[in-house]
Amino acid sequence: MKPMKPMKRIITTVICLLACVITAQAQRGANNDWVTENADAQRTAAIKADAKINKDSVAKPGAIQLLWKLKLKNAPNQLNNLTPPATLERLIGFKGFRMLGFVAGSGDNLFTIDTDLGRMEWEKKLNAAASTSASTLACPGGLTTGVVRPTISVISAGGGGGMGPGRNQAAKSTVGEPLEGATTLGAVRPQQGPPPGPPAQAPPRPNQPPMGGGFGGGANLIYALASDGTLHSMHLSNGQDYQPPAQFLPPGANASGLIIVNGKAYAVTSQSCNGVANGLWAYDFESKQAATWKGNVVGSAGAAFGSDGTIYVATGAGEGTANSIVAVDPATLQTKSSYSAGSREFASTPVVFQFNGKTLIAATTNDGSVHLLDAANLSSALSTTPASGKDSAPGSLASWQDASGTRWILTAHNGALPAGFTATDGAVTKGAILAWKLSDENGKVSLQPAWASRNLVSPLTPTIINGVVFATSSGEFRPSSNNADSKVTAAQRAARSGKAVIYALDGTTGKELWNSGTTITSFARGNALSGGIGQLYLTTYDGTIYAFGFPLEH
Amino acid sequence: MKQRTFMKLAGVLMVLACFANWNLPLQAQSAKLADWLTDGGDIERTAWQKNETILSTTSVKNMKLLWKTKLDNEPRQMHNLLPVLIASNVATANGPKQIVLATGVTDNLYALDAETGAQLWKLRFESNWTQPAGGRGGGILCPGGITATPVIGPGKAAGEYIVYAASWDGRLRRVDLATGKEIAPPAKFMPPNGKPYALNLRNNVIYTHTAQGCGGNPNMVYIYDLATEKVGAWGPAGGGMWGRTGPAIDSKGVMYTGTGDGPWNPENGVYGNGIIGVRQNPNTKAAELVDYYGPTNAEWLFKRDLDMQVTPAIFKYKGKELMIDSGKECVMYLMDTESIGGDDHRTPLHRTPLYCNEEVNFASAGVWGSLATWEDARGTRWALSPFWGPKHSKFKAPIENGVVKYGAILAFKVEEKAGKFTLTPAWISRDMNHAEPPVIANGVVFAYGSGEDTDQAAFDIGLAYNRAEYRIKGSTKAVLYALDAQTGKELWNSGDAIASWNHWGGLSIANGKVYISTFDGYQYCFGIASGASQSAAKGAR
Repeated sequence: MKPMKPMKRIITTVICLLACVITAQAQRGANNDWVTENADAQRTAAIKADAKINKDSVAKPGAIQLLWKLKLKNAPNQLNNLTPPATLERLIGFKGFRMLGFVAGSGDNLFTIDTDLGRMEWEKKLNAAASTSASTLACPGGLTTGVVRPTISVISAGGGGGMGPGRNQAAKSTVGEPLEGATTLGAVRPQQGPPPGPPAQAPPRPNQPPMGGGFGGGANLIYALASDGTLHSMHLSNGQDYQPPAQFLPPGANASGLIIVNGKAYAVTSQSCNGVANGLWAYDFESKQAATWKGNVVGSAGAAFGSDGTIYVATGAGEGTANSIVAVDPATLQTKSSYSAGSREFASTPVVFQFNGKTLIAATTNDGSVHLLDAANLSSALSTTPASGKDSAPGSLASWQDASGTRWILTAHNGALPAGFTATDGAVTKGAILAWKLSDENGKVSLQPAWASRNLVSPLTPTIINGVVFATSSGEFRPSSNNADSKVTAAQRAARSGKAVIYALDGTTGKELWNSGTTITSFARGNALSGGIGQLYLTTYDGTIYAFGFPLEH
Repeated sequence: MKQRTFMKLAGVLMVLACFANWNLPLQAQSAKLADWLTDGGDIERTAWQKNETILSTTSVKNMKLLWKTKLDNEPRQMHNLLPVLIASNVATANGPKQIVLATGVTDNLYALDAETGAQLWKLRFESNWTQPAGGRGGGILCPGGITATPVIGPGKAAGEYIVYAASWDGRLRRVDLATGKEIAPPAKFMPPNGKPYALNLRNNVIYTHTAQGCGGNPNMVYIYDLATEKVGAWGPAGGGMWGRTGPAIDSKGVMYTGTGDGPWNPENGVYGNGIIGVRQNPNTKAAELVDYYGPTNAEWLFKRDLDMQVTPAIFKYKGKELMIDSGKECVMYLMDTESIGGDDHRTPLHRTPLYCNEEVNFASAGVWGSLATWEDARGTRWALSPFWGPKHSKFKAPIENGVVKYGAILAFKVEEKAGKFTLTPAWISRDMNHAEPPVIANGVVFAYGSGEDTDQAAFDIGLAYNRAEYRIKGSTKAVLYALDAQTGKELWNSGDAIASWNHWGGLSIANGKVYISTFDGYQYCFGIASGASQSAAKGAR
């Protein structure tokens, strides 16, 4: 093979580095996309910036409207139906520019929706082997975790996007001197150094990486975990397989929190469904090998990731490292360190965030207590909040930082308000969103109650978009674990459930800014509703996806 | 008896018809010869050859390939030859000639004999500007080289013509059409390696605009005042003004163009996805914005990259000077040049429903290039639009000439009822493989499917598909069509006579001949043979 000339090697290296940077930026979801359960690898359920959604715009009467709703062809498995969509602000695809939402249906169905138009872009049924195990509430079978886009674990500052140079400059009128041409000639820089070499020849298409090009084009794949445990990688423009499906999990697992991060796939299994071990699973796309960290991982959004790629899982009672927050090495799936809550079982997926230069972790135990940890030292908690009652804890948390630098932790609390909280709007009997502020007094970090929302029925994990908290009163009938109602079937639970309502709340006060009224006609369940780029999406038990936002004339 | 009378009458008619047909070229020679001195035929970019006498709805069935000439221009990206210009009575050393001026993207001009296709002269613009190595620019959107069709202006004496061209180095060239000699030193005009669009010339002032930020240059309007040698500029505007036929100019000297994709924020001087009117200040010679229009859905257009990127066409109608324009979204706007967007700059006289691009695609669908307009003998004013891709499923025209899959020509009638101006659908042509801007002559619409692969993205590699290597492979060949301008009915087509496709080309028409070029460097001339043309036609075959 002919060795590269030094200059050519330098140019090639620079091009490769640039490509890597562009790829990383694209995968980061720099355009404020919602790429996995609870938005990002840290499971914050927060979108940091939005050009349209803010406290003022949302509060304007009639500004937020139902943009569209679609009934998707998917039958529920037990109470599972549709997952919240992962989003893509802009695909420059073979059919055009698209803003897309990717929804998974429990029947191994995928739906990709043009979210500007509420129009189906493509739909697909994953080719999965039929299940041989019985479906129960705990082990519903079918596809159980959302369709996701690749991301990286580096914590993003948010924002991003843009429109390229020149498009937002004010026009002006000029005239040049006689025989001197236009004034723009004055801005022409003389060509320096040798002229650039010819562009690389286009490689054969089958070997092209699945990336877009130009205009900030991003990773052009999506991933879904079918009911038979196969991991499907697909071109997001049309759903065509990028590679043959890979066996990631054994069939029939109850998987949650699928994420493709730093080039590997991860998911969590629970309930020992179909005999599948509980724990954290990883799939290496290069070696095509799956690995497992076994334990009773809890929470609804799987594992969370630190900026350095460390995996954090919360566990309940039972096998392995119980009742703990565990830091797991992403390369080896070995335990790095852990924090034990003693006899208290954890209930939620951890949320990871930066605070005063540190990486912190928060998770709730099943008594509703929030445990705040420093990722650098898991030996003890920085702070824990008082217990708020059995079965009060949510499956995941949310966190965001406001413009003043205040860090907020939000939980979807079940039941009456715990001590220290006062409702902003009427009595709370069913549940509410609780907001804590982090305070740092002389190096002692603690959580201070800030506000509680209005009464909400079985609230979902809240979603924060640009300082606006979207709280969902899911309407779901959730029986208490020690109640006779816990024996009711999925159909009975569905029948006893009400209708979901979305509330927009001021993120710093909890004050209600908007609500969806009676628009939604079924109940919702699962993790945070997804959104961003001026819209929010809720999927309901009856197989409908609702899009709310600001109308845009087409 | 009745039968015998009828037979006699039929015989007389047949003789008359044969005589008329045979005699057409002679009639044309005795009539005033037509020119096509600027892209789009005139400064208003109507694409209407008003002086055609040879081609007609009855004669076009006799059209054939008269000649084709291979030019030695080197293609760049997907570009090779630009639309030709035609001067019918050029005083040359060998007597008056009808000259076809072809422009090659690699800084070449060629003069061809309209009768035979013979090359009369070639001029390659010399430049001290260092072009990027490798002969490639910034991709298909920025090919480098000459991208603006030149314009021909009058010389000092009858039969003298001056070609004005913007060469790759950004300088204005002035060339004697008869000899191919530069008659003045190249003059600084605009930054090199930009992407100017077809030059327009009115009252000794040259107008153009640029796009795509090629060469790192801003997207600007440029107005060159030949008398003072001053260049006015206005911009930048959006993603660039890229109506392929350059600006259209109204009777007041205002040039109009679409601004490409970008935000519409006129309060802050940002005019993306709109239409702007710019005029030369008669005193300072600066280019100044005098009017603008932004569709009410400009945000949507920007979001979906549905650029307003089509050269408008301007015409007189019922005492008003009206303008039509369109874009990738695939609607047509009818505007009054007195105030193209009304008081709020967002209200045209009329906006049609979507007639194509139901898929909302930024490439391979919508309206591209330029429009056309003409008036028939009954005073009906027609507005024509090419479009790519299928017709919109909800759009209907009274006459539709088959299923449209890859593109077509759509004709509207301009109508006024109780002071309200509208565009009323009239007909849709047959399917064409990427229908390009039509030209009209004597009741016949000439249009062509370029055969170009216009896709810019693929399902697997996204925008990385937008490379000449891929798209050239995906391109096929062009077909020229003659349509009845009243109905869109196909009257003739070029069949497989054209062996390649084109990009950045266009039709030109004069004196019974229709010109089209292809990527492989051929200049084709179709028409009705006469004299030298007949000999050339034998050679071409």
